Order: sequence, then C-alpha cells, then structure tokens
Amino acid sequence: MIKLVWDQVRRWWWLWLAVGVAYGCAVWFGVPDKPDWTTAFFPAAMYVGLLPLSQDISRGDVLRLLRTLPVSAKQIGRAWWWASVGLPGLMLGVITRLVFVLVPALSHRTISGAGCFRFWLSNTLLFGFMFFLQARGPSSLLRKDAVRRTAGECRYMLLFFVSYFAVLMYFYWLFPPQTIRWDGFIAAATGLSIASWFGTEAFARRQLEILPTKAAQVRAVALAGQIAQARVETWFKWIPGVRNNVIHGVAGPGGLGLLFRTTFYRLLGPGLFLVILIGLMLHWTVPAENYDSFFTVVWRLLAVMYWFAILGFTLSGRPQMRLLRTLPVSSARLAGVCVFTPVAALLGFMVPGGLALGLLFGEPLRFVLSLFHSGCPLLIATTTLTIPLFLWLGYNQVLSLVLFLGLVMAGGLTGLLFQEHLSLPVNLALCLLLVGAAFGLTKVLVERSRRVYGPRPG
Amino acid sequence: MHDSAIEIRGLTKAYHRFQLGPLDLTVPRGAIYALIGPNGAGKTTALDLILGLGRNDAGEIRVFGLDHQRDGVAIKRRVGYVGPELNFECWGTVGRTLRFVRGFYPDWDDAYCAELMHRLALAPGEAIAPLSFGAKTKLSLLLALSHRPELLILDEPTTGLDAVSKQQVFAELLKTVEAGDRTVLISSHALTDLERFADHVALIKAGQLLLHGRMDAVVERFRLAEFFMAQGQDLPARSGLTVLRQDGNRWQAVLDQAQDVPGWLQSRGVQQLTLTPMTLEDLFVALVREKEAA
Repeated sequence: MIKLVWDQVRRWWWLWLAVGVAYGCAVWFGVPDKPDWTTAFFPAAMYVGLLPLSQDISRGDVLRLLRTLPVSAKQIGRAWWWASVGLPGLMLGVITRLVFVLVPALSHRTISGAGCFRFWLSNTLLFGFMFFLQARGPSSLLRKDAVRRTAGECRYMLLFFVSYFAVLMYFYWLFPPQTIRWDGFIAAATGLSIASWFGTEAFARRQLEILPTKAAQVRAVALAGQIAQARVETWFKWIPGVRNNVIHGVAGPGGLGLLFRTTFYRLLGPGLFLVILIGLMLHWTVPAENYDSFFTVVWRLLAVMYWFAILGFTLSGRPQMRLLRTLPVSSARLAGVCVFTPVAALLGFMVPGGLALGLLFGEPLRFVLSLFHSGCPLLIATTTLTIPLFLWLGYNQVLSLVLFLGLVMAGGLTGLLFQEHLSLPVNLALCLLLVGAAFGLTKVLVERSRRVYGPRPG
Repeated sequence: MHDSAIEIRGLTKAYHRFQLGPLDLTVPRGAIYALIGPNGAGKTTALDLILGLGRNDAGEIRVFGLDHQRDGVAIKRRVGYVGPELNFECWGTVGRTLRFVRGFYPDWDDAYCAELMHRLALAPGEAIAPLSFGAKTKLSLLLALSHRPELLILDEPTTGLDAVSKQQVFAELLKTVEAGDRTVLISSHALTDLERFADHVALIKAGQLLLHGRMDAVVERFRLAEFFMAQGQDLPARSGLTVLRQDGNRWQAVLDQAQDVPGWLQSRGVQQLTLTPMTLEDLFVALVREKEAA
C-alpha cells in the first residue's frame, strides 16, 4: 500500500508543488489585506488529492496496470484514500503550521491559532467529503461507460463551480465558527470522511471491474454534446428545413459551421447554470451597494472558469486535429476556429448573461460595463494563450487546474496592477497583441507540429 | 493538364532521429501507386507532406501541378485521404460525421455516397464508437470517396482488416480507378494484394527510395537464384546480389538482372544456377535485408 501511495506522489509531485506555490502566493498576498487570513479559503488545495486520482481513473492506464499487480482491491482503495485525503491533509497541516510560525516572524502580524486550526480542519474534512463523493457518488455506480464518464464530468464541473463559490466566498458565512451550524458541518464532514475510508475497497473493486476505454473518453463528451444538440435542434423544428436535419442527421449544413454550432449548443447548459447561480448569489447574499465590487471579482473568476468549461467541452471532444488537417481548410482558418470559437463562446455567454442579470436587477448595461471595467478583456486575451498549449500538450483536467490557478492569479494581477493604469488604446492594443500571439502560435502548431496534427513515427 | 498526379523533387524532412529523403518520385495520373517499406521507413511522413501536413525542410511537391503548401486547400478539395489514425468518434454517428465532412466539399455526390454506404454496409444512424475496426476504415473510405476525388491517398488502409474486408477495400479502389481518370497512392503492408492491384511500386527504407517503377518491370527484374559453389569458396559482396542462405556448398540469393549478376556468377564458377521469379513480398524482404547488410 505504501508503494502505491508513493507511486501516486512520485507521479503527481509537480501538481502538489504547483498548488503549494499558488497557495503560498495566495497567503502571502492575502495576509496584509485581511485581519484573519484564514477566512480566505484557497479551495485549489482541495483538488490536489482528488484530481490526480480522478485523472488516473478516467485514463484507465493505471487501472489496467494495477489489475495485473499482486495487490488487493482493499490495498488499492486505502492507498487512494491516503493519497487523496490523508497526505494532502497532513501536508496542509504542515503548510498551515509554517504560515502560523513564519508570517508573524516576517511581517510582525499576529495570526489566530484557532483560525489556523479551523482552516486546516475544514479543508481536511473537505478532502474526505470529496473523496466520499468520488467513491460513493451516483456516477460511480453507473455501469455504462459513456454515461458514467458523462455523469463524472458533470459532477466534476458542478463540484468545481459550486465548491469554488461556496467554499471561497461563503464558507464562513454559511458555517460561522463557534456556532451550531459550524459544529454541524464538522460532524457531517467528519462522518463522511470516516465513511469514505470504509468505502475504499468497494470503490477500488468497482473501478477495476469497469475499465474505461479510450473511446469512452471521447464518447462521453460527444454524448453530452449530442444530448444538448438534439434538444436545441428540436426547439427550432418549426423552421422549414431544420426538421429534415433533425430527422435524418446527414442533411443540413456541415463543415466548420457545424463545429461552431455544436460548440455553442454544448455550452448553453453550463452558461445558463452559471448565470442562474450568480443571479441567486446576488439576490440572496450581496447588498445592492456592493454589486459593482462583487462583479469586479466574480466576472473575472467566471471568465476564467467558463473559459475552462469551454475548453473542456470543445477540446476534449473536438474533432481530431489530424482529421481537420486532411480536410480542405487552410491552417489559418483552422487556427482561427481554434482561437476565436472559444472567445466568441465566452463573450456569447458573458455579454448576454450580463445583460440578462442587468435587466433582472434594474440596470441593463451595468453588469456588461463592469465586465469591461474589471479587466476581463485583458484576462480573456491572456486566456487565449492556453489554446496552443492545450493543443500541444493535449487537454486534461490537471493541466486545466494548473492553468486555472495561474490565470486566476494573472486575472487578479491584470485587474489590480494594469487595468486601472492603462489607457483604453493601450489596453486594446495589448489585448490584440495577446490574441494575435495565440493565433500565430496555434497556426504554427497546426501547420508544423506532429504532436498536434498526428504524432506517428515513420 | 499534367501527366503526373504527384511530382516530388529533392524532398527532405529531418526529425530528431530520422531523415526522409532527398526523395524524387513521380506518380502518373490514373495509376495505382504502391508505396512500400518497413515500419518507420518514412512512408507516413511522405504521405503527410504530400497532403500538406507538416513542412518539408527542402524540395518541392506538386500535386496536379499545384504547390502542396501554397495551394493546399485547392489540392485537398481534389484529394481523398484514408489513414488509420483518423478519429470520428466525437461526431457520435455515421450521419453526423458525413454531414460534417460533406460541408467541406462542393463536389460531394450524395447519390454516390448513398450507394457506397449501402455497398460498405454502413447506416447514417449507426453509432461510431461500437463500430469494428474494419467498419471504421470503411467509413473513412466512404468519406474519402464520396466527393469523387481525383487522387486518393491511402495510408495503410488495410491494416487490421480481415481478408474479406481487405478484398472489399481493394475492389472499391479498383472501381474508383476504373470509373475515371483517378489516381491512387497507397501505402500498405498487404504486399500480396498490392502486387495484384497496383501498377507502380516504390520501395522506401530509412527515408531513402531504394527502388521504383512499374510493378511488372520491378518484379521481373529480380530473380531468386539457387546454385552450388565449390566447398570453401566464397562470394565477395556486390550490389545486386543478396545472399539469403548458404547451406554447405548450396547457395540461395536474390539477383538483380539489370546489373548482370547472373553473368558475374557464371564467371565465378557457380554450378547448376537456376533462376525463379519472385513475389513482391520475397523481393521486399530481400531488398530490405540487402540495405541492412550494406
């Protein structure tokens, strides 16, 4: 079992390091502004244990190897628990302790020991809670590969979005320390963490029995897209000509237009979900006078989060680049589709979403304008640089998380350091430069990189 | 109108541990041209470069007289490609894949597509993921043929297919070529089938072109030789002679008749020299070995 845990650490140490660095930066920059830094959660730490496990399970390669090794399902399950809950908990404890000792020594500030302990305890229990969801969640019980994968993707996205907001912004609001609600949270999370330990063997056995295939990984995303596509197309059945497309599938406009439409259909659900989520948050928790400052933070975060949702849907389920390169479409057009489809999808969500929320809350243009004032254009332009990187390295959840962390920090920096000090023309020029760089890089990769258009020797 | 479908002059492409070329090759119009070679010889690299996937370091490729980079889109409109690495699964069904690909070709022939679909036993509503390997190859062929391309580039289209599917693929190719002035450039390890269907062949090894020409001329040029030599006597190495086996004083070798190796052997005092025709597969194995020995 120790060897399996060690193997997990050896393969994913870089992710732990990246999260550690991001966590350290967040604390370092966060401390001067906050009387009690421990109220600022950094939920990325929550994913450090669970994400590699989720990645291993969905890839299937590690499972295939584990199945041939002389280890029992019980040992595998417990190793997974230690790698996902035990070790991250211990590490978070060490880091928290270091912060508790170092920050007062370096900055002459006092940090509440109780706050540190609350921070560590709640985070560690969340590791256990999330492992429980992974192990006992409804999608882990589904037998059909593609459906299970789709449910897994949706659950992951839901967890990511909800937990980010719920944990980062509302945790202490929802569970104020030294109250019954806090005690209730601790009791429930402890119970689920303990329960997750006892479910490890069954969880590992199930995963070893149902090995995912490579095809299922693509199929899962395609399945989600088709469900969305089918529903959206049926809405427009009354338009002459569309009915045929829905019935026969083959007829109707295809080509890059179909790719473009499919991307948008796939993103309707998550986009709508986010707009409703923000609407509810505004309605319930934010005083009217704080709408603007709320949006300054939230739209930036949303821009980055939604960006990765877009990339998750478009890149992991994208038509293979090799296929696209064999079709009569120029590399410039292809690079344009790769870069500008996600940008259009992002703006297509943020502008109408902002308008809709503005209408609901009284001032139609208020939120759309706040989108442009909060550094979003520069941030969106920066995020386009992730596209050539994903094309080159291949899309996966782990890389998404690392880039997400980097972009959240970059988003904060662009907003704090640059946005307010740059004139509009300089700002726009910078945006164009970044998008142009992303386009140029993508074009070069699409044209020349064998990793992108089909890595095959000989 | 150009007589050749593809003209390659001085093509080179270098990777970390592999270099293709310099390569000179001409594929005549209306031919079924077989590109053969061992694994890692550079066949896929050459086909990719012809199709404009990747950039060559030097040299020129012209397809129908057009530059493969500058006129890439115009060339691809006239070319159909089948390769084992193509993946259509993100489109879910055969029908949606057809719809997507059809959008790129103004010359797409719906009636021909329907006919081919029937012949290849595919249906629009069929999900792609559970399709067998052979059915996926047939789908790839369907997509490549439905716009009636002037040039078909096929990269190992029969790998992993059973004998019946292999025959079906070759039969479709023959029909395609018979139907008009179409050219097929095919890379495959099914040498027995290629010998029957292809009318030109080029052998490539470690990025270099070893041999090319009309299939019948190439096969006719080489002979399997069996002869005896006096005990203890040895044969010096020379080009055009590949010794396959030596069992005492009995020898077996492949001879290149174009280099007058039989005459050279007679002058060395070999006895009971018998020459028998070879198959493309025997020739392939012998020539690849010869190069390795050299």
